Amino acid sequence: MHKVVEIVNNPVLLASDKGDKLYRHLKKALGAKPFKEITLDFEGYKFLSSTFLNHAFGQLCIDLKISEKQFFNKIKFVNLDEDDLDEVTLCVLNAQMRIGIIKKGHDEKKFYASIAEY
Amino acid sequence: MQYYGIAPASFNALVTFEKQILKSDNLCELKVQFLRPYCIIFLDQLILTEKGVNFKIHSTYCDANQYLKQTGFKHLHKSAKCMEKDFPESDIIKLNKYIKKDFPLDEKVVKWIKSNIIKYIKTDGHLTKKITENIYEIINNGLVHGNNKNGISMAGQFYPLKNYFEIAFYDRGVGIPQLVKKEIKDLSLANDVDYIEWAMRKGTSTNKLTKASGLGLHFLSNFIKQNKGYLQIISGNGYFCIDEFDNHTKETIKNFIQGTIVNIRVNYN
Repeated sequence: MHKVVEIVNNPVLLASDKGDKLYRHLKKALGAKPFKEITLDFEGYKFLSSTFLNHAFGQLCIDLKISEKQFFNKIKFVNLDEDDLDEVTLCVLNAQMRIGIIKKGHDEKKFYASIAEY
Repeated sequence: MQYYGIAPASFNALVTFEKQILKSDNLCELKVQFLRPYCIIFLDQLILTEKGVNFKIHSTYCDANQYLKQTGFKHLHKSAKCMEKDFPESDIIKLNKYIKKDFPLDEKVVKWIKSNIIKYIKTDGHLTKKITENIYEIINNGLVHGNNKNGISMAGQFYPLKNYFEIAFYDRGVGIPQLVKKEIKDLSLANDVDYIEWAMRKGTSTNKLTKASGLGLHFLSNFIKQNKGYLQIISGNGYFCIDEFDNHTKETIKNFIQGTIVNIRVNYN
């Protein structure tokens, strides 16, 4: 069991540097492909931001090229508010969109421009 | 005194203040009787960015001076005539400011919200959490993207009879339309407000694709929708608003606003 509040040493999960701290911990804990299964325990956390989520989970998906299915198969979430789990899912999906575009070799500026009609 | 957010017409007043202040040397008298929180933070950032800390203002009317004084506005001239009676102190969310040097600022922001907002309202833990998270997102966004040396200022007002509060944020840095136009040259939209709307979409960002980002404003608009609150973003010549019925209003304003103003209404009953 990996306790988030202990890993970042704080129950306030808002700032990017705390997301970075969790990212480094998760990267190490997951190891190499096909990745270990881990459980992330959010007990005692108070707040969560998109910045924290992007730095911890979104960046992990992009850097390790983890699909949404793989992500939720390998990382189990406990003691996380239902709304916040939805935000984790959104963050992972957002990362998947980025991975897809990078894989296709699309120019990122053109991609962003196309989001106007996305 | 009721305050129903910022009407696009209000910007004429802000620009009048701006013109008067820019042409004054050390002191400026404003002929204004009532000031809303967004005016206070506009004046704060304007003076800090364009004139410096020694520049002072006062109003012809004591009501406005009194309000400036009670918000903790630092540029009120010492000779400014105030009212004999205070406005209710507990209705005012005092002026506050963060700059990049304050990073990491999450715990500072949490502490400030607790003692300046949460303390004055009856709310459950869930709403406290959402208020804190979303105010943090606005401040963080303003500091990171506005990139203004004078950071971001905020001030607000409680309306206890209506069970809501409003809080406004202003950074006089790079506005949303200017930032998006600079970073994403292929994106060609008609008006500044279209760039603001684009920035609100899920997944849009001015960061590289390899950097996970692009959800902050989307989360904020979801929160406002669930809360049946109010969100207004003004930047450049664009005015974007989401009201309590989730209607989206897009307008082009005549006068250019440097940087970005964000104003939110949050219900707490």
